[in-house]
Amino acid sequence: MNNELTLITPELIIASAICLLILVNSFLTTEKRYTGLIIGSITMATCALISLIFLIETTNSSIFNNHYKIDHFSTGLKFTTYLIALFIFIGTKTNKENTKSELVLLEIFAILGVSILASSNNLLTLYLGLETLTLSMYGLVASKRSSEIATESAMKFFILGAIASAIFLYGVSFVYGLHGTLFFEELNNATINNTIEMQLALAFIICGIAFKLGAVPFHSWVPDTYQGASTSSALFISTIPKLGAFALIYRLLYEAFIANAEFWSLLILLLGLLSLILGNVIAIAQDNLRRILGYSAVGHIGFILIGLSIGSIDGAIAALAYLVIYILMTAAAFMSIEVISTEKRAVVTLADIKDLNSTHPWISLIMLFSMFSMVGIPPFIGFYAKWIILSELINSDMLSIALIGIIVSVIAAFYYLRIVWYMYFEKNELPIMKGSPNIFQKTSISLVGLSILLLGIYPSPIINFCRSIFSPFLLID
Amino acid sequence: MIKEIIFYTFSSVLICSSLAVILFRNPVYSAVSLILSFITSGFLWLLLQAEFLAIVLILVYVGAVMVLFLFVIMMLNINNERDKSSFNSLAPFALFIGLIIAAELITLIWINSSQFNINSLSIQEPDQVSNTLALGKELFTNYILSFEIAGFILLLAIIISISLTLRTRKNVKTQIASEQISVDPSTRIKLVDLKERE
Repeated sequence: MNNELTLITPELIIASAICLLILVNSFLTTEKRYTGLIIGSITMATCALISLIFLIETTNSSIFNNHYKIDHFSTGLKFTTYLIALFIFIGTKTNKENTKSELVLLEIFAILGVSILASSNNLLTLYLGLETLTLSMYGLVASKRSSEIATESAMKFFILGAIASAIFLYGVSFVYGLHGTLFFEELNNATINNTIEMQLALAFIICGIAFKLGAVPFHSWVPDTYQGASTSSALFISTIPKLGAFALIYRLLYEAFIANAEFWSLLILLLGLLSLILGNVIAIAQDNLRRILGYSAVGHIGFILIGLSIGSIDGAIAALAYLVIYILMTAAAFMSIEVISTEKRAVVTLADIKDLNSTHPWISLIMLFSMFSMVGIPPFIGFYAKWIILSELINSDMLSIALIGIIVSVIAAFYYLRIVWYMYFEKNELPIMKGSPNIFQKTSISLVGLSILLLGIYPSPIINFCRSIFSPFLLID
Repeated sequence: MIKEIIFYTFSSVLICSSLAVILFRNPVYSAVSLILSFITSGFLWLLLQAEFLAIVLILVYVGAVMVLFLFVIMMLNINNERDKSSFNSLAPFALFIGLIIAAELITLIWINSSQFNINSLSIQEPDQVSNTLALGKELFTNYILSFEIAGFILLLAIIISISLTLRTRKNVKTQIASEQISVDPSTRIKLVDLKERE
């Protein structure tokens, strides 16, 4: 267990899977191929298993000259990532239209980026992980080459992302100039950290983070990419990279710059409130289902940021639980869109899902679960997610923020319920959606959909898991 | 003294050429000014005794990146007129934002310049080995993980650019060497006995 290479087994397996996939694909010529699905799923299953073993018997250790860290947080986050990725692969890649192996390859690259982000112990490693993640996201968005919207959104995303990376690196260069080191432990220097220059550097770094999360002043790429990318890529982009961004924000703010907590918590709170309010209000005016989901993602990120702005480990636990629950809900919504779309006609606007109940009753029920859960209606897990964030806010005397959160959630209920209304009570004038899910898709979408309901009734596994990830810190506290 | 003179000469050339990059209307002129600014910043690095980085900067950026860039500019034949109008319409706004950020940075450093004291950082004396040797040792021992990850990022970039540009066309006439070699002459040539015309 103490060997450096043993500790990074999941990353090594992913890296070898990438090389294997490239080799296998270059010798295959057929159009419809499932190599990506098979290799991707096996890799994710193995990695999830290995990180689960690591999670149970983890010894915290820094490896590669302190550049890389294996602790509860990193292994727990990796385990979550691999498990969600496995579901996404089985849920979308079994569809004949999504078997292009380049997409699987890019997604595995993104997962590698998330793993590196989760384990990084140094600003350099962190940035390299971030670039691995974002580069593969650009590729995923742009992969639908024939579509004009996809190309435009990919171009916008690429340019904005490059600027965000530059701003982030500018902040990092300030940090290096002030501290003379890039290692997280050595950045906790209170005398330097309270200077105004350090706050400037942090402001730049937080701008970069906010872009990666899609928080409000930097959110414009989120609805665009959700609209432009193919459904399976949109599903991926809306789930896994959010975990990477959470790792980024946790490693930087909670570990490297915890001494500046007073300063950054204010900035994060502002970003969170803006995202919460603007994301949910703009979503009301949208007609495009994917853009609605995009703006709702911005709103949910607002909730997560508010949870993180509390600045305590409890806040981070609540935020991580909210994030995992949000990923479940959004995965259910996007999988529903995915399975009823066909190659010729994808679900785009609300008019496409009118009267979905009469043709796809089970899918529309899953969609209803997801929407009700996003509103926060009690038996579903979304209620619990909102509840833990709000109770953490009240515990730390931020009652007014909690009130704003509740009011905005009520406003947001309008557009979520509008989707449900369209599915169940509107007459359909367009031709019906012809897509029919296969057995794998049915299984994974049902598992995700039912988990929204069942975990809502019995939510302790999720919160216990999130707590156990942070447990070493709880012991210290 | 001579060091200061060299420093100020090259930094003023650097600032002028960087300004020229954004002020020239013709993209080829901008690219050439960018080459000049890369070369001058290479000289500045030489002053800091970072000879390896200086040479790499010139080799990679001037030798490879900018040449590629010039090729692209010349092949695309970019329309200058349209660029001019869009630049002018956005220039006041961009200038305004830029001035605000510059003013903020300058006041911050002005008010509280103690932390930006370069001498307070412990800059190690360069070892008596060459820059290349020292960098190579660091890169392949302490920073091996970052080095490997950077390799994967390059692989990713290759895959993305290929998958975005490769278009496999159907009905294209390709050579399949193995089939060509394993051809049996008897299936290709048919010998027909022709009767002699009487």
